[in-house]
Amino acid sequence: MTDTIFMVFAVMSIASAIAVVTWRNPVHCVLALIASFAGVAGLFYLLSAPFIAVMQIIIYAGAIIVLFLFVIMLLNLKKNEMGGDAPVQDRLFTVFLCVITVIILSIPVVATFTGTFYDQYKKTFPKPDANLGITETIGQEIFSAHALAFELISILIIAALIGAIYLAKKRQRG
Amino acid sequence: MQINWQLVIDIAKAVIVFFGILTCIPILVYAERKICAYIQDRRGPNRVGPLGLLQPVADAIKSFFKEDYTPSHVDKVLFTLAPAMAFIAPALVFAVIPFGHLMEIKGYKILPQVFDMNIGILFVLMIASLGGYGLILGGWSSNNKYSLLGGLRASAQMLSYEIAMGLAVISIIMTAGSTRMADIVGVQTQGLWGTCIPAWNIITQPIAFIVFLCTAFAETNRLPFDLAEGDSELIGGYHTEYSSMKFAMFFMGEYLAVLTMSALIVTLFLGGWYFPGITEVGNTSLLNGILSIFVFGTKVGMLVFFFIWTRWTLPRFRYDQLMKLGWKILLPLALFNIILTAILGLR
Repeated sequence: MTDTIFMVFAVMSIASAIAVVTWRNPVHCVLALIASFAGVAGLFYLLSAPFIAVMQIIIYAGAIIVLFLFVIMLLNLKKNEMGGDAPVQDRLFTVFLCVITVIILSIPVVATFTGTFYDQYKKTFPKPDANLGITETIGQEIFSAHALAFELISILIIAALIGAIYLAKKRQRG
Repeated sequence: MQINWQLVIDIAKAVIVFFGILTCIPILVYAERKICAYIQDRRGPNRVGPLGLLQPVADAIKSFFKEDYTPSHVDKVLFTLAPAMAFIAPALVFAVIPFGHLMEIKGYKILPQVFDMNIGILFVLMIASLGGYGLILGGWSSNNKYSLLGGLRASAQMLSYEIAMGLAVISIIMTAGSTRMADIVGVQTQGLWGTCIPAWNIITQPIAFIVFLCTAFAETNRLPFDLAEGDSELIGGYHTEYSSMKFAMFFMGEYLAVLTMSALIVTLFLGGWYFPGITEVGNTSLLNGILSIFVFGTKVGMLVFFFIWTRWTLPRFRYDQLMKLGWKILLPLALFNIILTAILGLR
């Protein structure tokens, strides 16, 4: 049962991720991106991490994609404004990058199926706690064990926020 | 064959709740038309059936038999998908709202809540964050300037008010110490300072209540925040090009959103199914369960009346006023409230 649900979510996230990069209409691409995020959120839920699953939807599918849509709708590009196909050397370079990415990403998959990596993994990592994914545990972990990392991320976000406000502000000419 | 009665009960609950809230929509439509008529010193619908009670039925039949017109050059898939999204999102929220006390009949536990989720309130925020897509996509796919403007306004408004709403909910989570809806209601069933005044969050968290109420109006796209529709400026906004049943889906979605928002406010701030002296905590008899559902329904009804009352009393905000209220007043207020809750340890 779990395997079937996993396959549904996995196929959903991968198929819609492919749609994001191949479809030509930006609004359709953004919708495919939502479907992809929803698939990933489903995978998180299957991994008994409901908090991260819900956050995935609230932050990415809910807030960030709405911003994407807002910008796309504001520009409202016509077909001829979207630009034609890229030059050949760019496309070749893209193919090269894709191949390298696929090779790197498939190493753990292959290693899992051949067994050695999986055995190693089972030896070194303890079985994850069932309560690890729930909200209370995540909150306690963030504010005790990972407090420093949390504060550093906060500072980074505040810096980004101030930078964005500065860029958006009208320049005063003097 | 052994029948799993608990599973049957669960499925029956989902079906009953879904059709229950669907049945509430015509009642809401009738209530809105009648109340607005009395506010404007009119009589409202009074021709179809006794007291005009069959008016919603007549409206529904009219919607079904109207021509379902699709304008040229629209994005057909999204044009059809948008009304469905606007309708499904508010219906999903009802899945996690506890609308009564646990009942025990012949050993079977019946909890009046479709799915008692551990992260219930976060699930609500998740669906609320997806709720705007119906309006945004409807506006974009219609191939109409007014619709596009409506969709743009909807996206900016949803995004701005969602943040303040989420922050108001965080202070409620802090008060309850849990993200489960049942726990949030449970904490409100205790007496306040040892008296019989219930510790409803409206008393312990007045600032969060005001912020949440304002954002609820914005998220449901109701006056004074119905900028995405804005019929005096944008004809009909996002649903300008819609007709027949597709329009009716948007229309029903709006009333469903009002219903779920009212149910949500009741659960988060008004003690849910609890009322001192009428319902008891821990009493699993059938009578107590039915009374608790009745109490919940009454509270929701009063809030729905408040929604309608506000719509026909207040004028529409200007767009810059809307953004100013969201970002410069509600957001800092909600943040301040979180700090206040943390300092005072309000429980």
